[in-house]
Amino acid sequence: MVNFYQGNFMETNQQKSAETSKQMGCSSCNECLQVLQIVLDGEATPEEADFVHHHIATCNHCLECYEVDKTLRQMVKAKVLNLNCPQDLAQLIEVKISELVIKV
Amino acid sequence: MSNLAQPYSEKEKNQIFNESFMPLLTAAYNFAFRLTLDEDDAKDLVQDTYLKAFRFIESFQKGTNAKAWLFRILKNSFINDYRKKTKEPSKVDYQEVEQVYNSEDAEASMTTDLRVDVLQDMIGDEVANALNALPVDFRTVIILCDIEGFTYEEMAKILDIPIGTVRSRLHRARNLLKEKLSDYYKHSDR
Ligand SMILES: [Zn+2]
Repeated sequence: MVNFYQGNFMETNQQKSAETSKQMGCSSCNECLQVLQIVLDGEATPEEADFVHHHIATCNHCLECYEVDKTLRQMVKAKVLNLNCPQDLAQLIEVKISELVIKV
Repeated sequence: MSNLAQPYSEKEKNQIFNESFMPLLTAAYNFAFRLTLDEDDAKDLVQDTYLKAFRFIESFQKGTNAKAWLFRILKNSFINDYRKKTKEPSKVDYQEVEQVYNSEDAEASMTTDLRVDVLQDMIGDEVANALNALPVDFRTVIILCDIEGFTYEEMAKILDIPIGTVRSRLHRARNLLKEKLSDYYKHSDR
């Protein structure tokens, strides 16, 4: 989802670079921070995602929030490692199931 | 996740179980471990989960999300059988945590002093420890969303909560996680 908007993001960066965050005002930031999480989770509508990517192109504060939260997700995904499944687990389950089937 | 019984033959039941659920064993074990934080408990929890899955397999509709269906059983088994045993904060503590975060302004809680470069320097243990230190309900939503990649809708079904609650719980969970990571950073020598 994020990757999908990457192209858009670059484009808006150039288009809107003249605009300052002050001009956009506080209500824009509030709106941005409210939908930021769902955009990063890939749950936002295209309009909401567009809005966030337009806004962070010119607002450093929201851009930083966006980058921190994006990195947080990446870190959790990359650093919290999977354990190997215990080797006997599948067999333990199969034994219990066969016992169940016999009882029934 | 329909509760209507599917008319499966014994052969079909075994086939669904072996083809749809057994390949999810490692994922189920890891979810169980992240809930219980104990390898033996995780092993027991997965066995209980798979036994229940087999017994109730008629309520699984072929073609629907097997992992979400299995994780919902696992989560319910955890709440019913394991939560009491573990040293997790009680339900009361958890509600307090939720109230504290409810009263806080969503935007205000966004502003942590965590920076991207600080986050990127974190080692795996710090991230895993911070995640494990969260109350289990907050830990769970982060695992389901960021590690397992479930959608809000799937999470709502697994956890039996409305989508709005999924969203707000995730938001609070991430803020708690950022606070923990920020604490680690402040108390480290870097
Ligand atoms: Zn802003």
